[in-house]
Amino acid sequence: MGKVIGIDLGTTNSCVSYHEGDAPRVLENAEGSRTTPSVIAYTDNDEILVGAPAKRQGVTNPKNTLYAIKRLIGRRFSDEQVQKEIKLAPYEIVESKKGDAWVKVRDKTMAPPEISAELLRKLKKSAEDYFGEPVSEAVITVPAYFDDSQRQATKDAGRIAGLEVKRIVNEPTAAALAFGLDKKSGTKSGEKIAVYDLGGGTFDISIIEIDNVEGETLFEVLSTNGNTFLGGEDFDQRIIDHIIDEFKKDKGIDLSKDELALQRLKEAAEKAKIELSSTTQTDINLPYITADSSGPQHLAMNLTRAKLEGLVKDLVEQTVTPCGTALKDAELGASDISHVILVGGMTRMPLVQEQAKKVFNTEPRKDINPDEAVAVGAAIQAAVLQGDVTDMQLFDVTPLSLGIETEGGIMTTLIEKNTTIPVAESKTFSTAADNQSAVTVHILQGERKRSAENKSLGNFNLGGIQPAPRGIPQIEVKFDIDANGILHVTAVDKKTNKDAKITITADSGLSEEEIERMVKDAEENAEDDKKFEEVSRARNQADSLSSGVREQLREVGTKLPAEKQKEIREHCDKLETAAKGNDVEAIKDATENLSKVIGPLYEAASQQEQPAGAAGGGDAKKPDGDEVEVEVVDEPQDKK
Amino acid sequence: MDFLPIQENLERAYETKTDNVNAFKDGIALIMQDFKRLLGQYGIEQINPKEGDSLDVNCHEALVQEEHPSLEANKVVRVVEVGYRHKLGGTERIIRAAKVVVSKQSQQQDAGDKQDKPSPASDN
Repeated sequence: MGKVIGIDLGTTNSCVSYHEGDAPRVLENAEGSRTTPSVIAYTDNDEILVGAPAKRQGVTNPKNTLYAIKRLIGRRFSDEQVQKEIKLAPYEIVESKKGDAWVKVRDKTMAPPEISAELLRKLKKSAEDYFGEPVSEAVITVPAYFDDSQRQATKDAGRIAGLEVKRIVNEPTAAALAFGLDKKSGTKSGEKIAVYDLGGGTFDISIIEIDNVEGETLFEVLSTNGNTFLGGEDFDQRIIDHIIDEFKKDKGIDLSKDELALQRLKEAAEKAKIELSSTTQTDINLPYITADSSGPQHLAMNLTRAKLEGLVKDLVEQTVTPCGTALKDAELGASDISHVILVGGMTRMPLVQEQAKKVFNTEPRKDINPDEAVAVGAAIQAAVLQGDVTDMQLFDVTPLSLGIETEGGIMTTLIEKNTTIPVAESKTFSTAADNQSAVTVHILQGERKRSAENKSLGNFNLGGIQPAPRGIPQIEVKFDIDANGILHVTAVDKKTNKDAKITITADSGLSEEEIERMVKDAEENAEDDKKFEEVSRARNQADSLSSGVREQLREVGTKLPAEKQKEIREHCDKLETAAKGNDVEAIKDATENLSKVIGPLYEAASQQEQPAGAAGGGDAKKPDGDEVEVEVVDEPQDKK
Repeated sequence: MDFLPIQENLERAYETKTDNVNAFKDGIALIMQDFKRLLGQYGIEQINPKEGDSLDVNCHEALVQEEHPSLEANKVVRVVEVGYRHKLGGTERIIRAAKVVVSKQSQQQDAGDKQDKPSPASDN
């Protein structure tokens, strides 16, 4: 087996990790960051941007910059959550032919797995760059409440990205693994753990139980709850509003109308929030935030932790009710919880930690980076599958109960949630009316009593039942889930041995052909992207070289013979023309040609610079990076 | 240690009593020059695009869009905050993207120009 990576595919940020030697290691992306914004953008020229670059161009391209795709994946268009998202998202969410929530980008409708696949490809590439070899297998985490369709859609996304998803793991389970809450740490069998996960845009609380059965560790999700629209961004907004209010009081200027000022405020607010997790007060300084008739206005404000806590108190309190509900659903009290673990960047905030402590009456564990815990746990699971970690075994479990609809629209469960698979269960049913000749087996998934409130997976009829009073015929219904999670349902009339069956594969909403097309598209895109990247790089180098050279020509060009100046100018022209095209070789050649002739220009520049130190005078030289440009120029092009 | 003279010079500037704004600015320019040189020694370079440069999302962050009389869409109108990159050996990391105001596509050129030119935001 090759290397199996662990991926936390998050709503706002994603992270990839690999278990190397004895410890998991978070892998940096091409930009050098350990987490990647879950943002994907489709630009005018058919380029696909992922992560920070996609985020940076969001304001110029809001309709085609997609974020929080996780809120849509594997969901129906009519889903309440999707309808809520439609109101918030600047991009267009549409209904697919099959009724799923898709996204419309540049006149093309796309399935969420196809979009998430772009993100997975980037994470996969981070790993490949690190290992220097291809990676084709992964463990991906999903929220514990994800149903079969959402899990399958996540798997499809992996496949489209060229990753075989070896296992889908629940996020709280992964977090528990990251905190070492398996048998190694001496966790007692049957211990209950609360995973409190407050991230950028969502809050999840999960109660899980760890069992040791015959030396194997079993993680069982007892209950989950949360708020999919509560996260760090709401906290930032509170700070922004506060700053705007204070500035208005102080200077009489309303910054809320000034888009540019707002962007600076946003960043400053987040920075202040982060700082106040480790200090008790911080200064928010935004010089030249705006200007009025009296001149430039500066924003200088002190924010204390106490003030911040006052601003966000109710947001933190919004996590209390879901915690209570989760405990109730798990039929537990706070005193039954032996560990509370904190996940998600917002849990660095002391007030959040206090709240978690208050709810569960236990000091929360916070010794693992909360932004990375889930990915790290996924990597540990990946290592188990890879055979590198042998003292632990995790089983695939059914995330939700499975059963059939019985008289009165009630769901009768055959396989309880969290049952390890493969598994087979059967139950015998009968008819509801006299002389009933056929029964409909309606397969359901979910935890609700009323069948209408659960998810319908399919149905079939078993006919040819011999006339008999109601309750007499015996129909045995068997549910059989194989190791791949495929459910086979069979109904047998015990008297005649007549049977009918159905096979249910988790449906992500995508057909096999669609997935294959997307896989192919993705592969083609990868080729194009590579070419595009090369052209862009060459073009950037060309741009910075020619603009640097022109600047130098303006400043010290006259010190060179006219002939030489002309030669350099001509090469600059040629390079700029080449840079407008898409021919990488032409750009590289022109870059090289120009760099060959600029030596004398830079000699002249360096001679000029030495005495210039004291002469900054006249109209004070702008700090616009002149020297820096020279350095950009000297370096990169010579190796290409 | 390298940064201490910068701090000292800023203090000197702050304590200076003068009405001569230009002379004062000259002093500040020198401090900035020293600071920039120091950053350079640590392999840190400024990212300071010029007006008309294409938006390069690898090192620029678009803050807002503005209509511009002469620039086509998605060009840098002005820099709100310079960015920084760190060069070490052969690798380059963006420490902070330059925050820029970008030109907006004017109504006339809305549709139809997809084909012939490498589009505005093509610079990465």
